[in-house]
Amino acid sequence: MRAPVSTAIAIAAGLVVLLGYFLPVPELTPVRSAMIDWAVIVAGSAGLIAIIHLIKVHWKKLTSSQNQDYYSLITLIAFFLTLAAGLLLGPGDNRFQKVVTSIQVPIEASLMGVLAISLTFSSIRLFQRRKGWMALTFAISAVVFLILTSGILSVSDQVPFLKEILSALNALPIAGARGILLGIALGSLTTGLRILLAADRPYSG
Amino acid sequence: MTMNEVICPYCGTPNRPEDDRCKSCHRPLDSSRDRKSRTPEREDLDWLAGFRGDTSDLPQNPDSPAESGDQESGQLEEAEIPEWLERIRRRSMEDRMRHEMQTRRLGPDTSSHLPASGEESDVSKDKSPEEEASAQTPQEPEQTEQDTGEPETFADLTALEEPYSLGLEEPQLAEKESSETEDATDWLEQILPEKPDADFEFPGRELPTEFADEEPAADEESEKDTWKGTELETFPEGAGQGDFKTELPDWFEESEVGSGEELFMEIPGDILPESEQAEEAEPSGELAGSPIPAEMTESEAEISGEVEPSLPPKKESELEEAHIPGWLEAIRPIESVAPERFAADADNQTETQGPLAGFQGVIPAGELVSRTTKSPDQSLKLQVSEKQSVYAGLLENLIADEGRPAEHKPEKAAAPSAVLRFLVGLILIGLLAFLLVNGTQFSQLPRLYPLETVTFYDSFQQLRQLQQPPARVLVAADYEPALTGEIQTIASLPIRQLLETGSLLVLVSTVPGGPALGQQLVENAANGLENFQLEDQVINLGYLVGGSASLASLAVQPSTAAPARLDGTYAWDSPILAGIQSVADFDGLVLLTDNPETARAWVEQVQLHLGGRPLLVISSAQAAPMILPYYQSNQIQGVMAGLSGSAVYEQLAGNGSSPTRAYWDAYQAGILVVIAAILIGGLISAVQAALQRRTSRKRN
Repeated sequence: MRAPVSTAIAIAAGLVVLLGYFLPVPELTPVRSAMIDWAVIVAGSAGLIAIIHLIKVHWKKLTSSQNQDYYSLITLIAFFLTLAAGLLLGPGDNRFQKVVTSIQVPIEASLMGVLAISLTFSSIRLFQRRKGWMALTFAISAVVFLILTSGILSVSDQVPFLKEILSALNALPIAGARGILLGIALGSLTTGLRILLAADRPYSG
Repeated sequence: MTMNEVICPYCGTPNRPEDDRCKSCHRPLDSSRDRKSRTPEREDLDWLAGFRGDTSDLPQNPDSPAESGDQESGQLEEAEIPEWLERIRRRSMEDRMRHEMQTRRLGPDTSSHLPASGEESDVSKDKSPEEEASAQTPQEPEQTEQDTGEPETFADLTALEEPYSLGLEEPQLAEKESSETEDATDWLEQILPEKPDADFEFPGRELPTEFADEEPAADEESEKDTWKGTELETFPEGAGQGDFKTELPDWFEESEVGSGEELFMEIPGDILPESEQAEEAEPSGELAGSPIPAEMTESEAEISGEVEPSLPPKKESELEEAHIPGWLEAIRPIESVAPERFAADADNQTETQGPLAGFQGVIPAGELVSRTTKSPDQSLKLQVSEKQSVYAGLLENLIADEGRPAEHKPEKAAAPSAVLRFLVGLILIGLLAFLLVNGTQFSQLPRLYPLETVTFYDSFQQLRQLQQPPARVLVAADYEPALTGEIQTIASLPIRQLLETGSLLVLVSTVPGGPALGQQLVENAANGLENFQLEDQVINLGYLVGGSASLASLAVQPSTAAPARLDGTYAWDSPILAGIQSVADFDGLVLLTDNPETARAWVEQVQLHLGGRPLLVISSAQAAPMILPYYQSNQIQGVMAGLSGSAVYEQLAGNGSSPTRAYWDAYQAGILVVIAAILIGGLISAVQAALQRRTSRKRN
């Protein structure tokens, strides 16, 4: 058994947190809280590491002799300017918040708009690229749910069976989503059990 | 061996005269009996008599052992006259002639006699007149044998000398035997009276009585002089003392004398090279110092029946190969039949270096060790067959194809994609902009309300109704800047209504840009409210690091999870957060999100700790399907999804001036355009496919 110490620590931590949820033991609450706080600190450190790695990647792309990317220069400049503004002004400063509200929001919103146009264009050439029953099914479902979402069919409550039809149609995606969520939940449960049972060691134990 | 015994010509085994077949090899003895019956004539031994110089002492009795020995020696097979023998005969003839001249000059008293022991015997002098006469006319042994059928001279005898076959019989042997000369040579008769050396003893045998009292030849000096007078090379002193080794035939080896014993005879030094003289072994003592040649003594022994007749010495190069009977050949080891030349070569080689220098017959280690030869030139070129080269070429192409990118076939488009894309974008943007700017309202708000939106409204109204104290609502602004337009549009009315009733809002976010977006949302929602103080009703706890872990910490100890405001000051001393120990102390939780994963995290980590407090979700239309299952499981008490949900909420709230109404027409127009694009694209594709089928049918 490789690295028994790390494996034992991982199992003990998982069991303490799990038991703290199920057992009303007052002594376990502060232990569980401390462990969760440590996890928050580690996650925050991981975020810093990810930021530093991103800077390193863009720096390499900028300074590489082959396939030099000048957009990385803009990225690095924007990063350091934002870092400087945040350190100087603070996150609560209205001027610093405009970095998010006046720059980031329009940019991302514009990208979302381009995405919408691209999807519209792709929908026109859907049957040219993909032929078959799956493409037809997708097209029909897309049209139906776009109509439902648009609210065009909800303009009248006098049409008989319209509510039932709309309810039934709205239930279809909910059913699919429920299945996906159940699968995610079972996967998370299995992963947790594997770690508790030391069957899986993502920490390289 | 007695005179009456018949010697087998093949194996040399003596047999009784009455036997028809050899008792050893079982071959017929007729030829041998004939041969044995032949006796060499006296005149055949002229050469030997010449050596002696006196033939008078030779017994004349035909019954003498000499004659019987002649008969015995008739077994000798015909062989080529060795060179040395030829020389001897020649010289003997010369000596005889010289002696005759001298006798004529000096008188008949000066006849020579046989030499004394230990000295060379002047065979050339020991001749009878008949021998001398015959010696003047030397005859070929073959001729003599043809005439008489018997070996007449010792040369004939030596010519007849062949290794006795011990079983292997060749037809030529029989022929040779039939043409052999007289076996009992005259020279035997001439030399028989010579007395052997006193100390000579045949091993295990007694000398014949007639030889016992004979005195050694006198006048050794005269013998020497005579020998020297023959103008022969004077041999070095002691030459000839080293006796010449000769190998006995096999038939002799089987005799009681013993096999392999070597008989020695003294021969003139000029016959043998000095090297051979030096290599001559010491005599075995049998015939050492014998005044007579070994053959003569042997013949005496042969005549007496005690010693097997021996063959005169031969040069190694003239020795004939022995014929081995089949039964012996079969049991003979392989090594013994190895090429003799190897052994002969090794025996002749004298080692000149190393610890074995001077020895003969040793393995030439020096040559083996120092023998170096240039290694043959090996071709380094790889020998590849045609088939292999073809396979190698195929493999090389396969490997090259791996690195080569696959050829991309450009897709055929009905219309240029760039123009079509631009056209679609233009239509969408133009239509939406027109409707937004113009303010045209052609569509109606939905009349059918979703249940989740209705419950959201009801729960929200309950929060609004809490005024004393005012409700403290935890608002989680977990949405991305890309969907700010949708979220802020649909969430502005509920937030405003909360602010209008004096509710206290606590902003928090697990998205890095969430605190700023939430702050903007609140500020925009509170725009135009009277008696509104942002700092008194809203507190922004900022960004929560750690995702789900931070939510778990917030649910249990919010003061630890989010201790500071957005500006960095300590937040939990604010009156807004007074008395808050956990999320259950809040009156409600409103989650603003566009990501179903975020909603799931809040539901899984926080909802359990709410203690019955409502969890209300304001989400974008794209996340609604994934959030509604939580609503159906009563984990979420209300969901307002997208503009349609906002439109319902506004109708329920009775607010007709919300921004939702302004976007509703453009929203529906945009959806209708997308629907139309899908339908039109499908229609075009169907028409194109139909045309292609029609065309293909026409072609077919």
